[in-house]
Amino acid sequence: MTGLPRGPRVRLGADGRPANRDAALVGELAAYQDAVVRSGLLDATTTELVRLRCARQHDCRICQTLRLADAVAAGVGGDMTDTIDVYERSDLDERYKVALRLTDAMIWRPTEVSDELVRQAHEHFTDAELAELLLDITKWSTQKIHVALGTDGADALPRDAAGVSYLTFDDAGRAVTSGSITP
Amino acid sequence: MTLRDLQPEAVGLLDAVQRRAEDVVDPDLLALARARVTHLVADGPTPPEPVDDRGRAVAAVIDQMLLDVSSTDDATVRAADALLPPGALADLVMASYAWEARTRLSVMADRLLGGLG
Repeated sequence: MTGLPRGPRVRLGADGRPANRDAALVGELAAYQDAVVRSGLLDATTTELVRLRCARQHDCRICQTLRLADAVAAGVGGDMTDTIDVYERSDLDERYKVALRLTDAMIWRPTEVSDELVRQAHEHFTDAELAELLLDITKWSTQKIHVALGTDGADALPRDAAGVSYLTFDDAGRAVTSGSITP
Repeated sequence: MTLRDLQPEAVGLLDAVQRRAEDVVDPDLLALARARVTHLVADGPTPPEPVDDRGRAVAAVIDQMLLDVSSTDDATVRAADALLPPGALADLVMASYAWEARTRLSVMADRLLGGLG
């Protein structure tokens, strides 16, 4: 994570997105992400902590500006999100720490998952929850596409006075952003 | 149970992304990207070195995405974009990411579940 300033690195179309992308490929990837979001087995706090860990590790400006509205409603505040970078030394519940360890393992060195982490995963999560967690990590990590292309600027997001944009999903799983907690 | 057993819709849609990528991305560049993903994410075989400027430019982008995307620099991406038709690098980056996601899911599901399926 570098915090390097960046602008778009590829040719853009009139809509400000990469020019001449294949619309069907964009659509297939969006459909995948929508399906992942529609699976609602994990609690909002776990989902938000994992989402923010991916955002911080990949330095996605859009994703770091967002807060999952359901998680905020469940009590996830700045004190909890501030622990993302130092979660092992935090007082987060062990279940959340295991989710974050799995996130780190998957996005950095998935071949090096330890037997101990496998044991912890099964102690704190069902198989169905683990399946959703793994898919969630790939969904949030689609940010890597935007970070690589330099198209992750957050300027267009609606934000509140604190600079936060709130993220919800409609019934189809499509993202909706708002400058207030109740869109 | 496999990941596909537990999440059939999502895994099926990820398959669809791969199929569309195979339809629209230059097959040589897609093979190059997938080989580098498999090597760096899943300890797969060492990929062959790219044979031309286009391949080397694309490989530099894919490798940086895999190792630390936040450290990607403007020059690396712009060099690859300039060597490809408009939109082709964006498509390739999406296709590479989709393969990366599939590969990471496969490795993790092997450890935590009954495999990808």
